[in-house]
Amino acid sequence: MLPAGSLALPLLTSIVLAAVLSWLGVFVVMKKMSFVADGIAHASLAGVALGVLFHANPLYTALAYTLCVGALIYYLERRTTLPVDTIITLLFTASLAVGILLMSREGGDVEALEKSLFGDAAAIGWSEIMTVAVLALGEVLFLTRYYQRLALMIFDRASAYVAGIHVDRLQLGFYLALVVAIVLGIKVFGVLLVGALMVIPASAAKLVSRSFHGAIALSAIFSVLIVGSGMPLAHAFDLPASAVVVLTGVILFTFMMGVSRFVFARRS
Amino acid sequence: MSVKIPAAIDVHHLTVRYGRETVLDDITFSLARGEIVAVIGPNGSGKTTLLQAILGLQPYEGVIRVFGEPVREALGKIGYVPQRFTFDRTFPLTVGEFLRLRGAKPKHRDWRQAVLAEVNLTGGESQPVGELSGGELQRLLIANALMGEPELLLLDEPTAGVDVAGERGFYELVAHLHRSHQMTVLMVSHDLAMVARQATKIICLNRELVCFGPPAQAIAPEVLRQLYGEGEHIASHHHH
Repeated sequence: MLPAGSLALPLLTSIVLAAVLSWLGVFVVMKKMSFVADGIAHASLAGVALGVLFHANPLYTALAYTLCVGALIYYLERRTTLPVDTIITLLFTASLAVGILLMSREGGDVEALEKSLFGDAAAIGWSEIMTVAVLALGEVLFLTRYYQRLALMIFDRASAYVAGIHVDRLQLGFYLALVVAIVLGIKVFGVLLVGALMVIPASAAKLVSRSFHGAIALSAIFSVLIVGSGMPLAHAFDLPASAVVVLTGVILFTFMMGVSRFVFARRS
Repeated sequence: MSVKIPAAIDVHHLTVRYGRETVLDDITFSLARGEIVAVIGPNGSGKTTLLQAILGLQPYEGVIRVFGEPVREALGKIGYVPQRFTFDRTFPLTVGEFLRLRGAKPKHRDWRQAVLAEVNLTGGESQPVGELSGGELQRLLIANALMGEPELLLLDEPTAGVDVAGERGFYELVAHLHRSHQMTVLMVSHDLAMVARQATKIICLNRELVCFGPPAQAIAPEVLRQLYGEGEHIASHHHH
């Protein structure tokens, strides 16, 4: 465990995670699948329950379980005519049901459930920090290499295919990258609020950006601002960190709505 | 000994089914290099499906070869302009960024500017895509298709949603590209007047191949009746 009361490392870890989530969030908002973060986060509860049941670190069991769910989303999207939101809803409600059943068998580990639902940045340990560091680096490498091709695939799949992009592989890679970022995010921000870290910075950036690169940069800057101010604030006043972070994000989003109205009024 | 040059597109006994429904039934044709070919037919006649099958985006029975190869091998020689570019135009993206998304070479600035000049998009690379008119967006999509220096250009109802002036300019651009790059062009179109002016060959589809040949021969009254039913003529098929 880290020294009690230390904020620096959990804060740094949270900022790194938020930046990765916000980058992926640009594509999630672009693909109009903002709810996907909530769906994947809820699905991971079954993985958390498996960890509790087998006395393993819930972060790792949640990662393994939810990666399988991500692969299943990809498979069902290809093999059925169901829209992706329907597939995710089916899988997340089924996983949630499995999670509730497993938790009830364990005699109701309310503390583990609460930590998963609301996040617990303060309880983050060295092994988790190392895991986040390695996987976040992997996410950044993936996004740096593929972000333009991902955008083309989301805009028009056929054009991406004709441009020689392996769209099926890229789609699978995108889903797996989403799963990893969201499950890591749950440790800090919780199942219920991790989606906000994916959607709020990207949406605020979309309101005021004129270019794709501008949107990505602003989304990352907003996420760092939200977490960098929200977490110390929560620490100082002994409030739940994830809730304060999300509300800070909502304030920033509201401010950016005002800015965008001003900018567009001047342009027209 | 003469070496046989493969056709631009060879389609042999192509059949496409959606479940029990046959959308394309035993289609066979061959397009020589350098032709400009229009695919016409009523709604639901399989025009877009034909293009998708040629691209390999649609499972099919039969054989399709592009420049003598399976399409996956020939993708580098194909430029594709989609039917309705469904991307969210409110999303921040500039003209230059859009052309760089494909990530393939050549991607240099001079090349992008040459392509934009060729399609007569003069607003600059920093112009947001969301601020383009329908006609300008369509020309940007052509520019994107030209980025890979294709030998075959496939266009799916390219002027849907574009105004009359934009449409005329668009077809003149296609004719210019066809001439200046010796490109083979295959386009789905609903505009018979344009087809009569620009195309060297016509493919008339109504699930089956109704006709295939030069416009004068293909757009004969009896063929149109077979395609669209009674009361159809060229002038009436303009901008519904």
